[in-house]
Amino acid sequence: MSDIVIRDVRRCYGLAHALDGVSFTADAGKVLALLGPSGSGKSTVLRLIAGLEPVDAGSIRVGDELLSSPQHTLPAEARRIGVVFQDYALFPHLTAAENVAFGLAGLPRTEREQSALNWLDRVGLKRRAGAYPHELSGGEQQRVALARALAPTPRAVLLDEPFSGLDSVLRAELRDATLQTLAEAKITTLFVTHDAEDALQAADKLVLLKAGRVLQEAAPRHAYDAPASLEVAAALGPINVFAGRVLNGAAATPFGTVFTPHLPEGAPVQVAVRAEALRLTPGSQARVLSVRPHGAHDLVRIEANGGAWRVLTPARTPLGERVDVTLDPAGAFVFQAD
Amino acid sequence: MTALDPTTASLESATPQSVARARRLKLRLDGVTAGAAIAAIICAAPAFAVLVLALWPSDNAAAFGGALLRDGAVGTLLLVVFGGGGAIALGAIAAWLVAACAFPGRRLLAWLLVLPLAAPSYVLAYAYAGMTWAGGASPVALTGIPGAAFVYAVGLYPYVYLAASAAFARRSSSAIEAARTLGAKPLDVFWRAALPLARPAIAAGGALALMEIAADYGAAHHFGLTTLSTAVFRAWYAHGEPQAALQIASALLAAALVLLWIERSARGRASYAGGLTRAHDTGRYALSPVAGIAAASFCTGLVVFGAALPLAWLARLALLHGQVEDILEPLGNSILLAMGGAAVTLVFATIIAVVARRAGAIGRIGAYAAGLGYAAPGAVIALGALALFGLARDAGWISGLSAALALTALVWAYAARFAAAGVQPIDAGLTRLSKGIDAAARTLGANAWRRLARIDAPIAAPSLAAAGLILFVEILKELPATLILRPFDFDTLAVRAYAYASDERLLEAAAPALLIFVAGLLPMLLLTRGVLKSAR
Amino acid sequence: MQPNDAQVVNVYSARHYDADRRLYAAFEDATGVAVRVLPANAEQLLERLRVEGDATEADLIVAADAGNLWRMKEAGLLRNTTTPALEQGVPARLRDPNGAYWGFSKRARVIIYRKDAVQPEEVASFDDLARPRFRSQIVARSSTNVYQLSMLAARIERLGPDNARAWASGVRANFARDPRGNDTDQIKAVAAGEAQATLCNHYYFFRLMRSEDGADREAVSKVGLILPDQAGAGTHVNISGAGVATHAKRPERAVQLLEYLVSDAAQALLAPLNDEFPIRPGVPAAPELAALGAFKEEEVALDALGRRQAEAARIYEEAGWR
Repeated sequence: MSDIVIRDVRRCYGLAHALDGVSFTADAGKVLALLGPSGSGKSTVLRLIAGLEPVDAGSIRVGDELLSSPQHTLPAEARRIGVVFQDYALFPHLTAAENVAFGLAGLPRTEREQSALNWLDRVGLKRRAGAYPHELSGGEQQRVALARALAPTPRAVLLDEPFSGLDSVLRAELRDATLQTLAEAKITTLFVTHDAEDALQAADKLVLLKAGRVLQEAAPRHAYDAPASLEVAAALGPINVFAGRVLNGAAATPFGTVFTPHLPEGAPVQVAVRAEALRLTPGSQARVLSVRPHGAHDLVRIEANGGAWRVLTPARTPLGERVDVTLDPAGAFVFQAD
Repeated sequence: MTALDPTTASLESATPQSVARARRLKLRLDGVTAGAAIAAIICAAPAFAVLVLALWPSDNAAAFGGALLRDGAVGTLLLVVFGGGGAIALGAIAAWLVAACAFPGRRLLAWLLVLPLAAPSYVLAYAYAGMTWAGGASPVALTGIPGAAFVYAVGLYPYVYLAASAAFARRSSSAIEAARTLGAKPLDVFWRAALPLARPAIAAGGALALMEIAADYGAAHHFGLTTLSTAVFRAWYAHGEPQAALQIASALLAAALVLLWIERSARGRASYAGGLTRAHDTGRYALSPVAGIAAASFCTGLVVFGAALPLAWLARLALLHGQVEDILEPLGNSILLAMGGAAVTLVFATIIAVVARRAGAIGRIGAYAAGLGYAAPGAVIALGALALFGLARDAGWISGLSAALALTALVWAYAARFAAAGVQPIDAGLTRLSKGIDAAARTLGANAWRRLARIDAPIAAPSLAAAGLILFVEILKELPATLILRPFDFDTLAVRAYAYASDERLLEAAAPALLIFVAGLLPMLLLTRGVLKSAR
Repeated sequence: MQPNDAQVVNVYSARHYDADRRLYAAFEDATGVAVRVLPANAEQLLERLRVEGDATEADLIVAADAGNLWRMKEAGLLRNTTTPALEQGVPARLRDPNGAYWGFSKRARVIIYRKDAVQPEEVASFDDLARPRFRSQIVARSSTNVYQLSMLAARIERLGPDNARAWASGVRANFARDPRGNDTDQIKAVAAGEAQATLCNHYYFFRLMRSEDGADREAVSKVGLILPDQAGAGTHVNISGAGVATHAKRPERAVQLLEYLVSDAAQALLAPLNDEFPIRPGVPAAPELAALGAFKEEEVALDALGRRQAEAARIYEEAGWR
């Protein structure tokens, strides 16, 4: 098994750049998440890797093998790269088992059927083998699509917003199941999502995209703890942003200073502070506007120095009307402003 | 992050413009695409031969060709606007009534409404002329442009009806439900939700009707109208100027291209998600007794004027005549020829439709090429096919038009003439195919032929059947190409009916004309069943 | 079983009459030679013959109207053929001088008038149809019809293009409506009172008299038939004829069939079947035709009908007679 290496890839539609010099590496046997907002080009990346569209510049390789370059596009049907489409794209005229067996054309019939059933079993859908796509629920359709993509033992599998069409309970469940299936298959995986939680929890590596460019390529922990830009910081969780200047090697915030050894004195900066990096204790510094449950945390909105801030505190932390705020520098990042 | 720096990317030359240009030139060539290219060339060749022949200069042609061309263009335009507009309006309204309203006889009428399609326009024209002109039973004479427009409207609305029925039921149900929850009144729902959503289907069906009108010679001639079609024959027969005829014919082909373009752009960006969601059976509007009777009368009226009345008239004539001359052999020939022609045309149409759907340049050109012949009179297409055989003979490839070659030329002419009639429904069926499904099949290693066989064809199977039935009926009705290209002693029903009618023996012509209709009836009913079933 | 090739004759025919099929059947009975027919429009047959060239299967080419036959001849599709039987059977005026085609039946272009509105003397000549007397009282079929073209071609040949143009414009000015329908429709229109007079081939009138539809018989009872120009140049007549194909594979069979068509036996068979006039005076016509009596025919060289056809079409076009 080999890495998938994307190098300086560009893709234009008309005069617009959908991808503008994208490079990253999907490590063999690992899960890579492409995270970005709508229109960032993340689905385009998948289509290029799958060979559904040609690249206009740059290259895509698996190990030593060139998949795509402007002069050469190995057709999708010859790539052995599986795809789980956003709408699943199940063949409506074939049963679940027939869908899964579709990619196994080279095998004898019995073997093909057996393999299809095996794969359905691995996603827990053996009993639905004879059902047609429209008879399956959304979650079941997704699992059939996954089994179908994995059945031909591809070199990699690409998932386009695999969990987006599902409700939140099903989503977590399915995400774990999918990851388990993929882990068992030990297969190079790329999935596209706009959901930071999915990306952080599921991926071995994150690639953050915006407007056709890569913002950062890093392990989830690293990206979270050392974002390369304000945008990356904002993409991975709720933050508060303070504007200021570097003074004495540090940037001041209303709740404390953050050291900025690598920035020139007097430079305008923006400080991103993760919502959980602010600690609240009963006091007088700020006024509590509202407290709302937010999963395991409470999301507290406070007002101080004429501004409103968001803070995540452990759930049901007793707070009065006014609080004091302290800042954990590990959750605060300083970026030079333009 | 240096990788983001555009200057370090090694491809300075890859400006977006140059890239886009390079991509346009690079055609994806696989077996199916190549097949589609060949099919398109075969289908377009006769029409194209006509265009090329028309470029040969001729002095005489200029002398009167201009006036003929102008008058013909005006006549065709008026007929297309009024006859075609009428067909579209009648078909869309009927489809809406049947799809969305409950009224007495609705189920039966849903079937009957398709019947006029089995009757050729020239037969309807002869019947209406006999009924309403001097000596006929009607106080109102159907004459001139309005008369012909009426005949076209009641005869061709089923093209729109069929397409719109499927669209109303299948595509629009959720939108209709949404509109209803927003408090829209039935008429509002029709205008603002159902109609816009069914627009591509109506455009596709309407384009077929319009092209039929443009190509029609028999009815327009009998009504004494100057259209592009009749002008072709006026130049060719009366003036003995095949050259001028070809030039007018090429104007007709240009009109076909315009109609196709309108149809294609009407569908334009309206691409449908494949969607596995089933259409819900939205409750039908319960009509008041008066409105219900009005709806039933409207639909009944269409069936009566488009089929029942003219056929009753023909039946009366046939009964008056009382004897039927050896009709079985022409009937057999007709059915044989229609089946063979439909099968060949269907293969071409399928390949072209599938590739057009995959949105390659070849596919788009192919769809246009296939459409070219549909608005041309059959005799013009036959002339083009003959001219190509003439070239082949001059080149020494063939020695002459043997019976087998004549049949080949005939089937070829059918394909050239009717491929568009097959492409349309298949294309409509393929809209059920979400773009992702083709992509999914590719990522699973299926090559072009396998995708055609395993994905496109089965998913479009109901549409393929529908296209086959339409082609069968079209070829059954076809006259001029059959007349000129068939082998010895090979009469079809249409030829037999024409022979009598051209000798002004309408009583004798009635029986074969009636049989054309009867033979087309079963396929039409099957077609309706398919459409209504898929609509459910 | 395919008949022995020598025992077959292939006919391209632009005549679609049941009468012809009976003639061919009689020929088959008499000679044992099978007749295979490909009926189509004259213009389409011409195009097909051109493409087929020397590979054609056609032996004999049959067409109604001298204009069509002339075009076949001009296209080099007919070969000159002469035999004593043909020369004896067909009057010199009703055939091509070189023998490219031979007439085998004859039709007259006549005037039909409504008896309660028109005196026969008022329509004694085709010229009468162009007089102001008939303003808005004439109906006619489209000028593209070959009968209509040949008629004007003969007039051009006889009286010159100016006369022909004046006549066409005069008739056009008298139209009660735009041209539409066929000859039969014109007769019915006159009977129904849409107009007072029209012109048509004579046999359509007689056919209506025998129609199985009572309405047809009633209509025809209201109208009269005039053989025009008896005091002048004579009634315009035209032929149905046939010629041997240039590339005929069995020319002797074609000649055999052609000779049969003009024989006494065939002429006697054909006349009553199709209400046409026999090609030569000696053969008795059908009784109702015989009742018209002998009549004077317009004396115009047959090939002029073809030669002048395009000119006739142009004159009609200019006169606004579509």
